[in-house]
Amino acid sequence: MVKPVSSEIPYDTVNLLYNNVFVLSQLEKFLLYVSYYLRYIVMIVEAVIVVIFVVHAMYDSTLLKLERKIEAYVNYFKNNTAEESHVRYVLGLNGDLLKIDRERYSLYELNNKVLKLVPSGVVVKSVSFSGKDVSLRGSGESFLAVAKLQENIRNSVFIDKNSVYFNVTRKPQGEVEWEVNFKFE
Amino acid sequence: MSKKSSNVIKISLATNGFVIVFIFLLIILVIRPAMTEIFRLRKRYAEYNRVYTELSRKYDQLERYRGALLTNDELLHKLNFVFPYDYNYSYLARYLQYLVEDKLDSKIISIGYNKNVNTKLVQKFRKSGITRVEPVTFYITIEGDLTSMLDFVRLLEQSPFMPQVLMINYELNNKKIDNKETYTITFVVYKTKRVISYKDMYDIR
Repeated sequence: MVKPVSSEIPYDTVNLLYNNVFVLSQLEKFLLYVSYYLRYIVMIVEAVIVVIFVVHAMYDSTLLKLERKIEAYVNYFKNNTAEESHVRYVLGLNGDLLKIDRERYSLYELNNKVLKLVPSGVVVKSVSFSGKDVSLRGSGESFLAVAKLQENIRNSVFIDKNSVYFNVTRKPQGEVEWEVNFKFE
Repeated sequence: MSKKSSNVIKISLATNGFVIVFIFLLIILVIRPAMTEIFRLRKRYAEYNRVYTELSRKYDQLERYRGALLTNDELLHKLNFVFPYDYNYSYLARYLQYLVEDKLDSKIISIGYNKNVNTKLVQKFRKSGITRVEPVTFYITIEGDLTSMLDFVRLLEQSPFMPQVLMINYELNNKKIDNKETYTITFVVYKTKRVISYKDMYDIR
């Protein structure tokens, strides 16, 4: 014998069931949304990975090309060290010669300056230049004539006054012998 | 209905969870190291690019200068006579002979040079940063009129050898009747440390 099912279901049970079904369906809906959007996120991540790998590959190949070019230049410079050093030498030589020319001074002009200092009555017997150092030796008619030479040297603007050394001696015959050293400024 | 829905939710949760974990793993294990590598490559690229530009500039410069030197090689070859690298001062000797004997009607008694380094001058050169040429001291003793001595010095100083006359020595000798005196002039000329022109470079080789 079949037991009859009660047609009366308590209200609380119905309400509980209804709530459970509602919550579950909402959750299911939410999860469906999530999985729907997750698909796009996964696609974006995949795209990013692809872009990264493409960029990586591009950098790699560019670097490789650059490396080869640099290597070619390095080899060129290695094989042409003599050439490079020659070019450098010749270029530098020009500068060196210019410097030498700039620092040159004319001994001809210095000598002319020296000769202008010698007054009449004084004979120069020996002139010696060593760079800008001048050494003169000679004789004079009198002390006065030699004193004029000394004065001319001291008054010259071209001569370093601190470098002047003067020595005068009288010979028994009456002639005066002198020697002077000085330096041009 | 409820049981079925619960199973769907469980599967969905598991799948979504797995995907999220997978995305995080991708970010941490793939994207992050790849990005770091790309930044490293970018830095290396910038460095290589700098080196490459520098080398390329150097190469262009070298080629340009080499072209200019090759164009002027004949001139540089002539410069070897004026500033010889091998103490071959025959050109200077000929020039001195021309000055003294033809132009000033005097006589060369002796001529010579000293290979010993003029330390004072070398120090001066070093101070000025002159490293590619060396000074060579020359002596010339001439017999002639003293008035022509200064002309000789003047002409010598104007010569292309860029000489620096260091010393003039003469002694007056009253006993001489022909008015000829002997004087010595010391001057410095220069030698290059190496050959200047390509032509001579290949001749040596």
